[in-house]
Amino acid sequence: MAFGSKYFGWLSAMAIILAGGWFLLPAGYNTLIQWMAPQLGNYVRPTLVMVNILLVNPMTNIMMIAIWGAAGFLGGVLAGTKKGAFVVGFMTWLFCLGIAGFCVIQMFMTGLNLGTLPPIPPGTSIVDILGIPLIQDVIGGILPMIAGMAGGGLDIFSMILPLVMWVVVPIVVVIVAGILGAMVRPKE
Amino acid sequence: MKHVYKHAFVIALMGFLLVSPAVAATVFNDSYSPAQDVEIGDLLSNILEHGAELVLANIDEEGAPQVIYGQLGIPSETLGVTTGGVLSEMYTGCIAMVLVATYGEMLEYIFELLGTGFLGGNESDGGFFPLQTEIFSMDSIMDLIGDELNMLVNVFLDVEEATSRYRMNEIKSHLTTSFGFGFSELFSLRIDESFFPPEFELQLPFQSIDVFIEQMTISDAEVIDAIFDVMNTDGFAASIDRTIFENAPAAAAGLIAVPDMDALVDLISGFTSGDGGGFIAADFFTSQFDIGNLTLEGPLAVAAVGYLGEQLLSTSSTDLDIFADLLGSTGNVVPLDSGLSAVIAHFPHTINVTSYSPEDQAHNLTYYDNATNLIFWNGTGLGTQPDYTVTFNATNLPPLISLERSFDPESCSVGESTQVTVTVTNDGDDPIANVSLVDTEFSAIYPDAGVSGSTSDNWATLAPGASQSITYTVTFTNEGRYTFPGAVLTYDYNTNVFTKDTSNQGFDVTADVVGLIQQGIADGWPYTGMILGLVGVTGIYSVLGLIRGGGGSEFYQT
Repeated sequence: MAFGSKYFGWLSAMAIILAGGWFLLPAGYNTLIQWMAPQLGNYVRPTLVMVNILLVNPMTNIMMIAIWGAAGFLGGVLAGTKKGAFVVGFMTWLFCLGIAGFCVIQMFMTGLNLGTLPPIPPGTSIVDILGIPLIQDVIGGILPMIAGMAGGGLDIFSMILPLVMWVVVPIVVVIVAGILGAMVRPKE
Repeated sequence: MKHVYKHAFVIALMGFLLVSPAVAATVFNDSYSPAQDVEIGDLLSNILEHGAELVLANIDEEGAPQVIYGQLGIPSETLGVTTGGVLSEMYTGCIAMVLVATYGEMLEYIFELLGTGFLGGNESDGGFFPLQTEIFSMDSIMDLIGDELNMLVNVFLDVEEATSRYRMNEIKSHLTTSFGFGFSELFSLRIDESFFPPEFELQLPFQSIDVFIEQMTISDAEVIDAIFDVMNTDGFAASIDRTIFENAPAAAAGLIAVPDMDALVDLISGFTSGDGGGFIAADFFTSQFDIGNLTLEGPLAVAAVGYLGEQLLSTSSTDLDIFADLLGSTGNVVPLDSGLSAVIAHFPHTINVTSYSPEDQAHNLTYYDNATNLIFWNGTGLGTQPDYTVTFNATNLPPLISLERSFDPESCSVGESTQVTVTVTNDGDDPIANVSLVDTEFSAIYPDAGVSGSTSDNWATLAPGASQSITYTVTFTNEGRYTFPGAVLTYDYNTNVFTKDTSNQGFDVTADVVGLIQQGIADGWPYTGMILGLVGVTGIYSVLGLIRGGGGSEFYQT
């Protein structure tokens, strides 16, 4: 049963992550999907859902932090051991990464067969795209770097560091929440 | 830049500040004539002190109106810039606030007025010329910008970071509670010496600049309504029916407020002063804004709303009432009690203006320029009027032609189709000839969408009251909001060729979760099948383990 409990923990965590990521996608992403999907195909939405799931700025995307926390906690409760909770949390993140990779590949395979970027649809504007938290974070990070580049130097480390942090945050949250779940309802 | 007739309108618009002082002279100095030199500083002082309002009405060659109503002057205290005549705490340090909202094709229209050279035309246009590639053509930039810009931008100078953010929140709160605006933060940026690497050893002409960019979250109609509320509701504004702007196919509203002109001028001086190492060439601003003995200080605001209308004038038209026909007025038109009220109307050369009223060229209260077909009224000098009317001979205008595009159904799901019908109707009294209807741009943008049927057609004539249509079917394989660029109608009337197009329209194709998952599995086969099989087999194994052993030696605490 040890494996079975981890399996159901993983399955529950995946269900929460995917459903939460899909249905609680920030409105700005929908504008981006409406704009890009006619040209890049139906994998635009799943790709952006996975990007929103996997790149989490804890300062601006509290909702995804909560979803990862809830998924990890439930996974931990079902796994019942700290070790099991760790495995469940890590495997959940790893599968999300795999799904994201699959979606990106599918999206570009579709998009390469199509033409140029379509116009932003009527009723929306680039301002709606800029309202996406992830885009705001990226621009917020890029602007000071542009100022730095004027001196001739580009600090690659400071450019990558925020991305690394956003990648690491969900792993840490899901594993810590999982261990907490395992502690709340441990196996004998 | 090659000048076309449309530029007359934008020149008139851009000349708002220049025209206003000239007209103000007729208010404050009876001996003034438009041709004589005046002391610009004194005139601007009067304008700024008393305020000004202007109606700009342009009729294009197809008989469609473009209308702008704007106000300039010291903002009223309802805007909150000043309290009891003193700069309010929340606007202290704010050097500029810009609020702009556009919808429909207004933004594209503004760019067209500025000329194709502005955003990358050919060199012969003489305009700004960033790159010689189509990538930076106006159309491609418009494709990336979109047609709905709803933004608020505030800039604070030399204010502590926390303080500027606090004041920005205060301003947003005031605009929301007083006028019904709604905002969502997009970006904030603080530029000070810490923004740049220390090795730059940069000496900024300021301590800090905080820029806050907010997206407006209210509807287009609400923005227009709110901008009207910001304005002085006396004068022409009292005669204007706001719904004319709110219901137009394309409109825009904007507000620029400078809480302290003195601070703004100081900042500009900071950029230009020094030993030549400034950000902007020395003396640029002083040469560009030589305004005599005028000392600019205190608050200043400009607010304006505008719209693009459908064809209004045709072969049967003989006159135009500016306020009744274009602004929905039903009563007398009353100018501002103090300050300047003016009306400018511009007609294409195909319209022969025969008279206008009120008319008082003898006292310099009205002016008609035959070369540009532009009429100017000094509303303040003329006082209360029933309307501002232009009478003309419109034989060169086309008959009233309507062009509509409809979708059946108006939205659909992935894999489904819609039938597109474009209909041209001659609502006038005369036939038109060589009618051509083309709606082919959609398939050029979305080659993946299946288009079947006729996307263009021609007819020799279209009699009065008659209609012709083209119908085609589009099948969508991907979700999203599709752009249908305007269908283009060209026709001949009275030896002239006219062009008319529909607005860009959006069409929503929705995707259901189950359908997307099914398609995802199919697209990724056999790898998706292997993964799902592994997950399924593991699940069965786990369930069997539960049934068989009940957990064996492991069980949950109860």
